[in-house]
Amino acid sequence: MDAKRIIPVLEVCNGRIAAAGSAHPAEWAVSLEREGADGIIFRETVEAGPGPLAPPRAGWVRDVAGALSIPFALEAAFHGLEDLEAVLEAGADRVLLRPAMISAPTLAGAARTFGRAHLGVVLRADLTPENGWRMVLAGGPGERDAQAWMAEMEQWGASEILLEAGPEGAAIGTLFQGAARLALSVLYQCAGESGRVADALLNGADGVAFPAGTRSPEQWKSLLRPHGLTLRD
Amino acid sequence: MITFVSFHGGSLTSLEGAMDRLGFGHCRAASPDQAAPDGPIVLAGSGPLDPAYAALKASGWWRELPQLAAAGRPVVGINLGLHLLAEGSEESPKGGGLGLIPGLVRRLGPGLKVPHMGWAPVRQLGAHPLLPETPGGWLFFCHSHALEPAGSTLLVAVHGRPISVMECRGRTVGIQAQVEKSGRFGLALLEKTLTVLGEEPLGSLTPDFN
Repeated sequence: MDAKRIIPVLEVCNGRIAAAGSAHPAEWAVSLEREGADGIIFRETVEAGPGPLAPPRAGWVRDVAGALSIPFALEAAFHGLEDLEAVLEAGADRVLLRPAMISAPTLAGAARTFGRAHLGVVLRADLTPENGWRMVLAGGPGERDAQAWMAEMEQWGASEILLEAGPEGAAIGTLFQGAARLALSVLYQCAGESGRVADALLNGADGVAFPAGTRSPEQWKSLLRPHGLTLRD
Repeated sequence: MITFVSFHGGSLTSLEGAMDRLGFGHCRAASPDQAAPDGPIVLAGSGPLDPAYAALKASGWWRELPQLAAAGRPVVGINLGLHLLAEGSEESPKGGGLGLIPGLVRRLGPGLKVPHMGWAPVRQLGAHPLLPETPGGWLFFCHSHALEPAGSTLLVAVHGRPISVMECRGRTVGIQAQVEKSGRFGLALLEKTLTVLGEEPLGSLTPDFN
């Protein structure tokens, strides 16, 4: 059985990690690999810390690919196949696309060109009292059923979903049980709290993505081992 | 000197970085005339199979690789590279493979997560000079097709059914896992393979990011 993946998320602004004293992303990534990370997600942002996404820059991605011995993905403001090609050619294993960047022709075209294994999507789903899990776009849950959207992404050509679940306190088991029935890899994006991580993993999530700096990957593994989950040593 | 076949079938940056850290010299060759005079030829990549077949045929590598292998030159296929070295693949039923590794590459599943993307434990089928002394370890996989284990298989994993992770036939080696993305165990496997195939490290390079 595959190991559940423990994946720190790093925000990169102007080619540097602001949260780590302006360190180079490759330096920080290598230290996370040594601490037991099974992969890394980078998020390219306009300003230091969480915020709007910035267009991808291939230069630092190439440095990371040359230095790291674990897989990594990049979430950025991608505009078109050229952006995806630049980042994948630089050595990123996967690009992560937000819903506003996705259409059937673009995702299917990218899957044909690069292979679906290089394409992931990002989704926030909120549990609503009347309608179950709904996709969140701008501001709050909309009309779209989260499960149906994920199935559509699988059909169009994605291979992985980075899935955030709200609101705080909602039971997330049903969301991940549904997602796990798809042929997609499903990562639970958590804000750093540990309570729901084991729930997501026990209900079918393939891994957890958490903000780097909250706990080390090895600390996460120590917390999760008592739940009987398969983890890489 | 290791020669990476350059055929636009995925990035070579990670593998080249791994070679730098392990201390092996390397170059890229878009066509056979650009290859190093000796040393392993590495065919590594990811993505769809048909464009890779077409690119190798257009560049002359398709004709040259079997001749080099027959002359005793080490050939290593990684991930998509293993599929190119095999006799054929269900991904491209009309196109035959190079046939340097026996077997037909089959689609994973049904009823499984495909692509298979994750860290899986691998098991040795027996002692072999190419394998590290540790009996097994974790490797990272990202693939939708795989060879079934056969007589030339050295390492296996399970994704729904047993899959071949490493094949060896003479001086031709195929590896399904993304060894350059598989942490210390992957690098150890890569280092051992290249060393046994006759490559000598020159001294590792440590990148300076600042």
